[in-house]
Amino acid sequence: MIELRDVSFVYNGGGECIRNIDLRIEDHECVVIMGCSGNGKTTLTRLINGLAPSYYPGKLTGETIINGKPANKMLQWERAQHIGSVFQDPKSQFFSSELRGEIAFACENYGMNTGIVRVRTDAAIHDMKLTHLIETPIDRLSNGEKQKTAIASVNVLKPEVYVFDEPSANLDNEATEHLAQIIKQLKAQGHTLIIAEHRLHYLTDIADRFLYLENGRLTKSFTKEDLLALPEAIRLKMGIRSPQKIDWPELPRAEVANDKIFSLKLENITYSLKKKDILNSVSVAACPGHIVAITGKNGIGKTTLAKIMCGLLKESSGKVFIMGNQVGVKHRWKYAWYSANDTNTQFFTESIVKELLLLSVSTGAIKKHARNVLKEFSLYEYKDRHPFTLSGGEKQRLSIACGLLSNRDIMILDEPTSGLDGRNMQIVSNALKYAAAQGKTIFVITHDVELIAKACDYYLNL
Amino acid sequence: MQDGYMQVLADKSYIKLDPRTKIFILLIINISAFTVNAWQVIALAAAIPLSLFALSKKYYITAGFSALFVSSLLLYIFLIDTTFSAVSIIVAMLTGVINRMGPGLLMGYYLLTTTTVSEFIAAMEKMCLPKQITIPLSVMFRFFPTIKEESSSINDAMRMRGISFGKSKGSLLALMEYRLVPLFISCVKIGEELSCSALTRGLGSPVKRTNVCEIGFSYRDLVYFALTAVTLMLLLITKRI
Repeated sequence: MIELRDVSFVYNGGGECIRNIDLRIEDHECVVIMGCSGNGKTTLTRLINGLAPSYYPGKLTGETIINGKPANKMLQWERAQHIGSVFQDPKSQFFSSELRGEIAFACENYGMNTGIVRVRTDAAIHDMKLTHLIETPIDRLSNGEKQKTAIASVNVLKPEVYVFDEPSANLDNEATEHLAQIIKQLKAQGHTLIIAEHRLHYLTDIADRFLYLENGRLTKSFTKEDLLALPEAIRLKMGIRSPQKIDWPELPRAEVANDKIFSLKLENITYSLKKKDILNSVSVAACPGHIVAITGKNGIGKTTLAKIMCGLLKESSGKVFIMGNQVGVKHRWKYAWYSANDTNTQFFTESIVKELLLLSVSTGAIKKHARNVLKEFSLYEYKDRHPFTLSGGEKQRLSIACGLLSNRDIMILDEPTSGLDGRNMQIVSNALKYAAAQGKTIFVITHDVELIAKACDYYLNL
Repeated sequence: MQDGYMQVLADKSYIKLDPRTKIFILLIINISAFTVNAWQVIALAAAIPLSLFALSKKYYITAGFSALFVSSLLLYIFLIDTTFSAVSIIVAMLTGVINRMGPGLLMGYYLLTTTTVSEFIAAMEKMCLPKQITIPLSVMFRFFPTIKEESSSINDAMRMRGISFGKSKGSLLALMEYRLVPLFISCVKIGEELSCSALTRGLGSPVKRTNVCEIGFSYRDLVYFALTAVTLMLLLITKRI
């Protein structure tokens, strides 16, 4: 059992905080923590697994009790035996390059004898159905498999409680279904589960309670029935994503036709790496003002296709036409903009304004355009902040804004809404529509059905 | 899609040595590179990694680097003493760099491609190094592929922005800044997340760690230890004279 009594927490240096939380989570319970980014979800998980304040220093008041013992008397490593943690980004959770070594890591840290470590490691691998991947290096695994590995590497310690921080943020729909299966399995085994998450639909049938955080306070608590009964208008205002699985919208395929002039047309694009075909004869086309969703499983080549479109990769065969003219790989970037999914490596200057005007001649007209875009994307009030101090959703918007200011007719966006709450998803979706209304041709790689339903006109399924 | 380093599982084509042997070889090669002038020692130091690549059947790498080292050594031996001009100074500098840095870099590459992080940690623990050294070093080891990956996405982003030489703001200093600042920020962030993941899995407990990763010496290690020891001896002898 976990109990928080009037717990408040402020990081040294400010930022998101937790205010006066009273919360009691019973054994075997599954609790989902909802709320917009910046309202304290991650901080609450850190207070439970102990990273705040042991790793993230700050001022903590109130009392946390874990299994009847006051948590402040436990050291971080003692707490880790009871509470296992799984994080958002699979790529930054692993020490080792191989599955077995990674999963054994936790047991080794506690000095368990090697015989026991082996038995537990194999059991965890079997439990998470990873047996067929033992020989695969970790960085070759898909995001879904990596997330399973992360769960297995916590599972070996046999903790009573699991804390998840947005575990599905980087997963496609199929991998999310698998994650749901595993969470169900953990619950059936009697574990206590605490999950901070934006995407709700895969948890609706599993969780017992849904808590809503607002400005660091727990303001609402829902049962499954309450949540499903919530009127859409109120739900959107609260920034909560749909608790129901949204049906795939009926969209026309973005097909190549002969009678139209397309702003971007790909004909039979094939891409192979080390004699393995990653893309096999892909054709797609779009006109100005269209928003095309590029969908498909993780690892199927969506990002590769995007990089070919904008000239970061060279196709093995096939043709790329821009406004009816065939354009070689070296010149494509002048017409096509690409925003990568990982926004941490996208920004180069020390303020948002400078970022937008980077390399453009700052005339009055351009400044006015930049101002309009910033206002449209709700970024104007942050215009002098450093890009790296922005939240994930704000970074995504800034990247799209940079694309708009770059004056290129084609914009390709890679998963712009992964890990975003309902409110931010809505703003990004509006930003896409704004860009399309300006005559841009937009391709958006995504597995976010809510975004596709809201913004996209065509689709291409790889 | 990214081809990481440190994938023994994928790269079984290389012959296996104990990580401790590899670290020892790397250490001696680097010491000899910066202390010795005798070409015999340099040649032996280059021969060790070359033979490892040859035994792993990486014939292109072996042949290419052998040709490079041999020609650079020959130039060094015959040209330096016979002529003295601006040309020979440039040649001396160039061959010096190849002869001294080359073997170490090649050995470093071999170490990185054939050692998993688990093996590396196991090796350091068997050498009874304290946790305060083992953990930071293995994190560093773990970070090489990350840095490569992050820096390639920064490169992509720069190309998309059109940041390159010759542009109005593309001075060398600005280019360095554009490249390094995002790299640092993103590595710090990944490092932070990695620390969290390790701390919530009991890293930092006062207990002595165990290790399931099996490493051990074989006859190959013996041969290479001997070879390296010979290099070390030669190094000491030439220094003495």
